Amino acid sequence: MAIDPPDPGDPLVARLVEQSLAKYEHLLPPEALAELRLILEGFALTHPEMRTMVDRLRPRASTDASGDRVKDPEAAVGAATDDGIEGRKVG
Amino acid sequence: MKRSANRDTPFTPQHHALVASVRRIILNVANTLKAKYPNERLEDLITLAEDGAMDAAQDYREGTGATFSTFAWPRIWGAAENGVARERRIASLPQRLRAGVTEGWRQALQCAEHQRDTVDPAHDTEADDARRPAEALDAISAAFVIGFSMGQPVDTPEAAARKAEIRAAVATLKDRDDVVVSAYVFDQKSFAQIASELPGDVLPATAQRHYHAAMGRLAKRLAKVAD
Repeated sequence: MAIDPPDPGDPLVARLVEQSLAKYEHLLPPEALAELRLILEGFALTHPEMRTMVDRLRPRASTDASGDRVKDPEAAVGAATDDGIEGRKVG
Repeated sequence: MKRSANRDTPFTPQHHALVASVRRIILNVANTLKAKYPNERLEDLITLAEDGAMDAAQDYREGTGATFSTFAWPRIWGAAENGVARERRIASLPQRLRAGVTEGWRQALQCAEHQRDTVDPAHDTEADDARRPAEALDAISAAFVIGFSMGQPVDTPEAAARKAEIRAAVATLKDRDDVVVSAYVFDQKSFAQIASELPGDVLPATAQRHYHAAMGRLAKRLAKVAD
């Protein structure tokens, strides 16, 4: 389980949430879409299994020896939508 | 702030141990909501989240599929978020949307209860790592859409058409997935009930797995195709 406190402004989470909302916005009125956004944000930020999955998306190469995370994990989200990813997990 | 009602059933040391095991989730939920609703007191949010965890501890049955942390998360998040804002927010929505949004929340939180990290370090690729969070979010979105659509009163042609669309999407699932999702979503049966009604010796956890796999498929069917 991820142990760091969640960052409500986490750009990786924000991008993942936007991507999911975009797929279903044609099925919901704006008010309901706003409610769905709240659920998805809470889920991505605080659900124990989901946090672990999101954290695995963060670029490992940018993590220093003390475990601090890279501040701009946007690139990893781009990878999440790229069907052409190749290669095995590193490390 | 609204607290959940206390129960009459005794709270045992085992219940306390379960609540203690999700302390970090309680704090994460409270801190996340504090950032969203800065006027709320953190102590109140923690109390609400603890209420949800205590509720979950009393309902949790080991061996029924979900770990306690995933079982408890919807209760923790739901109790805290509902306590500070949701009821007020939903009450402020147009009347025609309230039932749908309420049912959407219910279905989405139930879907979250079954969310698992199915990582396989020996075989997973980076693409698998990238795919899983998106699929998990899409399953929650699909559950909300289904709940919203089915919860809406059928007083407009659009609402009737949307319900028919959802039923048609569920009907395209494979046999057992169709039965499980129909029973869970449309008939609001528990997984224990559903398992007992399926042919053969089916465990509730198996019915849950069918539900979750089916939500993933439904999420793909309902999603807007990218241009």
